[in-house]
Amino acid sequence: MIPLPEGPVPATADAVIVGGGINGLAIAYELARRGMKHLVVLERDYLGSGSTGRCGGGIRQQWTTEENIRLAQESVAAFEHLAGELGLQTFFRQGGYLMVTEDESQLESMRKAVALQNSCQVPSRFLEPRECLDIVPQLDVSRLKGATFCQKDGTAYPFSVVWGYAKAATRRGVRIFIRTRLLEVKHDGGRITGVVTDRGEIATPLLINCAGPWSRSLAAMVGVQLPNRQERHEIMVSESCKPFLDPMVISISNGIYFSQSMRGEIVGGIGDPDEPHWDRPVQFDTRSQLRFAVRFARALTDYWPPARKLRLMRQWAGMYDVTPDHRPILGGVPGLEGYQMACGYSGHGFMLAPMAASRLAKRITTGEPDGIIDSLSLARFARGDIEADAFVVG
Amino acid sequence: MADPAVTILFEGQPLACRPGQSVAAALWDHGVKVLSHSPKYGRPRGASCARGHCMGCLMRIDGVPNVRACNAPVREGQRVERQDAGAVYGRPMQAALANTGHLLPVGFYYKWFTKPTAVAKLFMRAIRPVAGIGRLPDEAAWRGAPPPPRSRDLGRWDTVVVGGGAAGLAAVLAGEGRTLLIDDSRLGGGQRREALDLAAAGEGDPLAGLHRLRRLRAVLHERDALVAAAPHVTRAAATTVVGCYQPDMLLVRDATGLAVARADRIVWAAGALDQLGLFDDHDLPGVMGPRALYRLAGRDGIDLRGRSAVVWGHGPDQWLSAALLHARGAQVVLALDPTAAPDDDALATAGRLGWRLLHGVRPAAALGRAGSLAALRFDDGQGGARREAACELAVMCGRGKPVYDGAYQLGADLVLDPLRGGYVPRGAVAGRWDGDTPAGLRLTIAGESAGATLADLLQEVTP
Amino acid sequence: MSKRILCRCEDVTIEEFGKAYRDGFAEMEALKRFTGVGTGFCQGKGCLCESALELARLRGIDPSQVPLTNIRPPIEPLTFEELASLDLPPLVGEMEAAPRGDDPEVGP
Ligand SMILES: Cc1cc2nc3c(=O)[nH]c(=O)nc-3n(C[C@H](O)[C@H](O)[C@H](O)COP(=O)(O)OP(=O)(O)OC[C@H]3O[C@@H](n4cnc5c(N)ncnc54)[C@H](O)[C@@H]3O)c2cc1C
Ligand code: FES
Repeated sequence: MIPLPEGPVPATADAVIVGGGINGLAIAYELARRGMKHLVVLERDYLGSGSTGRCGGGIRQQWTTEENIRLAQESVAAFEHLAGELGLQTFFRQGGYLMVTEDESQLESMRKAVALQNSCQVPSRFLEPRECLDIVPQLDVSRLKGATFCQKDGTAYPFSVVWGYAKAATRRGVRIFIRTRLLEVKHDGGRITGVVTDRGEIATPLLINCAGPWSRSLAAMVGVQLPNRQERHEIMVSESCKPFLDPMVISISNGIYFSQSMRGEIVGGIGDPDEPHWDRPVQFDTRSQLRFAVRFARALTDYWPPARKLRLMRQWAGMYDVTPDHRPILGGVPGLEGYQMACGYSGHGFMLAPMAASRLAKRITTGEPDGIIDSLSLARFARGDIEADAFVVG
Repeated sequence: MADPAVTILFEGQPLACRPGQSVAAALWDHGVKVLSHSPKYGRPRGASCARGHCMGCLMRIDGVPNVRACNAPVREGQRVERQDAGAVYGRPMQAALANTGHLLPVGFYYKWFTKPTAVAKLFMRAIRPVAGIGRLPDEAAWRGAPPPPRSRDLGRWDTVVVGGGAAGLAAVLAGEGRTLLIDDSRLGGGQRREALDLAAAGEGDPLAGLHRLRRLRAVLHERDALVAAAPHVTRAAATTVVGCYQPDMLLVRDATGLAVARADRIVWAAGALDQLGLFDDHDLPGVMGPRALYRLAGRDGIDLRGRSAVVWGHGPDQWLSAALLHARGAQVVLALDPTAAPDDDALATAGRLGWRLLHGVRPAAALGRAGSLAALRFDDGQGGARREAACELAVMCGRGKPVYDGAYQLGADLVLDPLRGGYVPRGAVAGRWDGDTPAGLRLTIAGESAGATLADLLQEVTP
Repeated sequence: MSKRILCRCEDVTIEEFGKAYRDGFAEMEALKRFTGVGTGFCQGKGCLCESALELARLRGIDPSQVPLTNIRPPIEPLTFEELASLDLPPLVGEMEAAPRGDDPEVGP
């Protein structure tokens, strides 16, 4: 299911997809499902080693921009039957998302967001602090000002989803090369002609950049400047206990989020306003800090006091690939034929991937315009046509 | 038991215990060896490492789940309960899994019931309660005001040495500048010090013919005294390093809580872990390694009188374990593995003290009765010559496994080397590695943590 | 039934580990997450070396060729209460001191 690198890469391919995270694998699978042959996925390390394997696995539809809501909504529908489609459990569980705030001034935008979500048929609702206790009984609601809740939101296990896509893609003939790194992209006269990897060269007319936080440096190889910046985010997992927490709880005032995985662990993180935002990918730093563990522990025990006696087992860090409007960049760029990308997910690329991949694959194979993909093209920044999503957390 | 001053409540039943003992040791003294059951197959488990490194002893103590009974001191009125991992579907399901598990595809929960969607949803609902160990803490355990934040900064040091055994003490004495010595034992001299002292005091002078152990004891005492007298050294006893953060920070825990120390130079001399070997049912309660025995028989003083114990393996830890068990009144069977090469004096000691000897054997299986160890089965490594030795304690003295986690977290480059027991620093020479980490810390990895054996270290100290 | 347990926390037998390997989980990172080896209460103290050795045997390679999986802090489970009560403002800022390369797997 997870192939080992053996032998050289093929000399030619119809498309080379860079990145063995959820986006690269989902796109490879979707392209293959639509009949494309000779597809190659390159992954520098192991599958899921980028942001995907480090993420919280949260899937929510409670956003403040219509594109994000629609993509997430379609993705939730996709996650509902993804396990069956891929032939591997995704551990998708719709325990809901409870988004709370301690900040009076956010109530208005939360109410507005609920209205927009409802108009898209997302069944979210606004809650008074006390009502949160029906959803998470031991929550300390004393400082809360309000909350929104959507039962249809949930979580899945990122590695399982990655393996599922890898397995289904492999079954359709996609060749996945782990521990294989893209070193250089060849292009000539405004079109992609091939790639150089550390295991050989591949001639290809189509390159799809799904390199997550590395996507900016990859784009730079072909002269495309992305406005993305990379942010470090830490996350942790606790010991495992019997089920006690149904939803993902997330605070839009201090940036903590936590849920209970199917294994019984609390998985959670918290944003850090003082975190240096590395601008150059060469400064990727995924080491752990005690500072995170302490800040997370304080916020968690404040919101949910039973956690005082539970234990943190393991902490790690990953990178968000953040765009100026917190929405992904999908599709190609004018003047460079054979270059496509799916990146800039700004900390929510796990939940958006299934639908973004499906739409992008359709766009690539049929050439038909796609309202959502086209509104999320790189060109929007030059046009100044941007509206930021306000609910980015972590 | 001379002074049973503390009474705990084990599943509602009052048990008298000696103050200072761990809960796991107190239960052992009352004949309770099965402290938990494993999550998937419901296998009986007990204290195995006795130092907070495994999960055999996870219990619910005073309403808090997953407390390590081997590290929890007994307290008056303490409520101690076993928590059954599979309690939701109960033991029958675990038993069924245990007997048919080999027929199921591995990771069957990944592969089955993925469709149709409604079935997948039901499956998620059905398996969710199966996962997880322990229920949430009792409300009484967490309700109330949280402890206020306290600053516990142990400050910045020229050198911090982690581990106060032979290698750590040598590093302290060879070093200079303000030095902090961190060790999780109560006494200076590392985890063998107390065992050596107890063995030396045993009836019939068990160490008399065991020259290398006597020499080790003398060296540990001597170095410990020198360190105690050294003005540049501060010791943190009964203190454990519980996390390392780059570039130079150690998170430690003692009886009063967490604290942080930083250093320009860190010496990682945290020794090795027991490695029991992979034989059938080696996870039965009663099977342990020498370091676990040192804790249980030393700090915890469990009652070993008249108990039968097999000590398998080779090298100094085997002989120290046997001597310690003898000193504590146990019946010793010394099972030498095919590589063991004891000298004549050691063999004479075994004879003099009445230890039964088995030669050239390898463990093949642990055999249980009522959930804990009843005998160890050996063969000659070629599948022939089976023998069994009845015992309720088996101490497996194979190659120790270097403690690598802290060194790794500080930035050491490690490589798996089975000949040196596990992960060791790449390029370590003669049980030592010195260098700068990528984050700019001066790091030394020494002693068993760098792949030396106790025998190597003894060679170093024996003229 | 008698079993040879490779990972106690997650109850993984040596046979199960081999089966997962033959199922296509051919490298340590995937094996670890698929079987659970090294992800339980001991965080690999009792099984990481053992599993890596077994993988080397299954693949017929030298143990030194098995890449080490990340051993992340802490070393022992810490209650959120004790972490929350640690008051050390200078914990901020040490990351800036030492930027690292672009490989996310270089350190914990
Ligand atoms: C702490 C944290 C928590 C998160 N929580 C959530 C959440 O709850 N919900 C959610 O939806 N999202 C979450 N995210 C965001 C989410 O993880 C990402 O948006 C998503 O995983 C991106 O997937 P990807 O496939 O695009 O990128 P990645 O998973 O990063 O994959 C890119 C891959 O490309 C490979 N690569 C890069 N360069 C090369 C090269 N030159 N050659 C070969 N291969 C290369 C990398 O090794 C990597 O595996 C979180 C992120 C973090 C860091
Ligand atoms: S953790 Fe208590 S015996 Fe291992």
